[in-house]
Amino acid sequence: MRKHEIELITALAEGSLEDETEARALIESSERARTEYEAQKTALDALASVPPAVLTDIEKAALHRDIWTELSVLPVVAQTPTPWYYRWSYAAAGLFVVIGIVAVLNTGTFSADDATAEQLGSSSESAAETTLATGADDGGVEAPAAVEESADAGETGVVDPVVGFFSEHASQLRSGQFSTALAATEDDREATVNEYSTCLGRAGLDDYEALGEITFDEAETYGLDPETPYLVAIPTGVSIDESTPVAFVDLLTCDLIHLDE
Amino acid sequence: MTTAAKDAVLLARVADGDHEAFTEVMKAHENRVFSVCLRIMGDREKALDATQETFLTAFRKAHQFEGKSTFATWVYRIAVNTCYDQLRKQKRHPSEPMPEHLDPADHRAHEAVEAAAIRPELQEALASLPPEFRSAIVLSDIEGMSLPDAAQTLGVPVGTMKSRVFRARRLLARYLGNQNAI
Repeated sequence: MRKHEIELITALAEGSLEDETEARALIESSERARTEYEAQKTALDALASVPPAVLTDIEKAALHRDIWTELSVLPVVAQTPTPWYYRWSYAAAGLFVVIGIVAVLNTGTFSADDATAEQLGSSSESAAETTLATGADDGGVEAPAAVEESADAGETGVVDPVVGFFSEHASQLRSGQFSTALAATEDDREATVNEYSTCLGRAGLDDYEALGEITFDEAETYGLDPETPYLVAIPTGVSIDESTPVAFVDLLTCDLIHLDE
Repeated sequence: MTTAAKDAVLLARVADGDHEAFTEVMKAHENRVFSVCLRIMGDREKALDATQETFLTAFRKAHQFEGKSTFATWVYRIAVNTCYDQLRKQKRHPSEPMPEHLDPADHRAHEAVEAAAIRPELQEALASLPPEFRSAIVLSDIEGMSLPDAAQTLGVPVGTMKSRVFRARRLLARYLGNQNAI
């Protein structure tokens, strides 16, 4: 399923479409679309039954009394402006640090080939959670629906940029560069594990296990949606090394986007 | 004067100890803040605590309100973050649920509790959602916020908000036993 189709299904379930023809045709022609629609509708119908919650008069009075008492004991202090030299002292300190680093680098202590400087530059980008763009919001490039297996660039000499993008991230995963961004928190582990395993099943990866989800900020430069979450998975029971296959699954559509082997 | 500017003026008056301004701010936002907290926390007592903590934080940090958003958006973000904090503390130090402390003199308290109650299976379904999904669905589908407003409240892009709402509904439907749910 494509992102446009998901948006159609969502809008149909919400009743916000002026013309439902396309959406109705979609759910009639696709069992998967119908299933997604029914799930959205079920949730919306259930949530529509939630009544408004209001405070009773006594609760309000108690709330006002308690808050006002706290504020009176420890009154809110307006922030006094910091002297100009406080603010500029931090900027000056930072400038001296930068000058010092530049000076050290220019002395030739670190060569241009030094991998350390490159790693510092790349790890700060990849370790953070970034977003992937599909561009579908403006009717532009659609989310990649086809499975893209790792291309043998040696045959054609040309690697699809999107394939290259995912292959690069697969390599970074194998070298442990964004493992922390993938870690699900303990709070949501049970619910997300269920969601992940269902999505992997739909993607035809029943023998894979999810490592976590991630979004890629820089993906927009590849015509991909920076806000699409991707499930990252590897074969079950396999430890991560240089040869481990890595799968990227679109968490909204549960389509396998790239399998890097 | 814009709404944000009016809010900033009111907050400044509260900071100066103006009780009238304080009452005006509370009246305008207390029910909605409480509603958000109740639907995220799932418990009235905890929601009352979270509501109190939200407004205390808002008033103490009033000087940080720059008027880039409305006070409502700003205070709802504080409410959501306060609830997240309390949920995390709960997880680390689970305690026996306190019996509902309803003031015997508050005859309407029982009515209010019943009126706000949602069916148990839906309550459980909401509680099963990860906090960021739960807050997305509370703001969007229960409180009726537009996606842009809800996204601004949570401090995420609109696309991320859409994604969270979609996935949250999917998870909710699955929990509620939709046979065809994903």
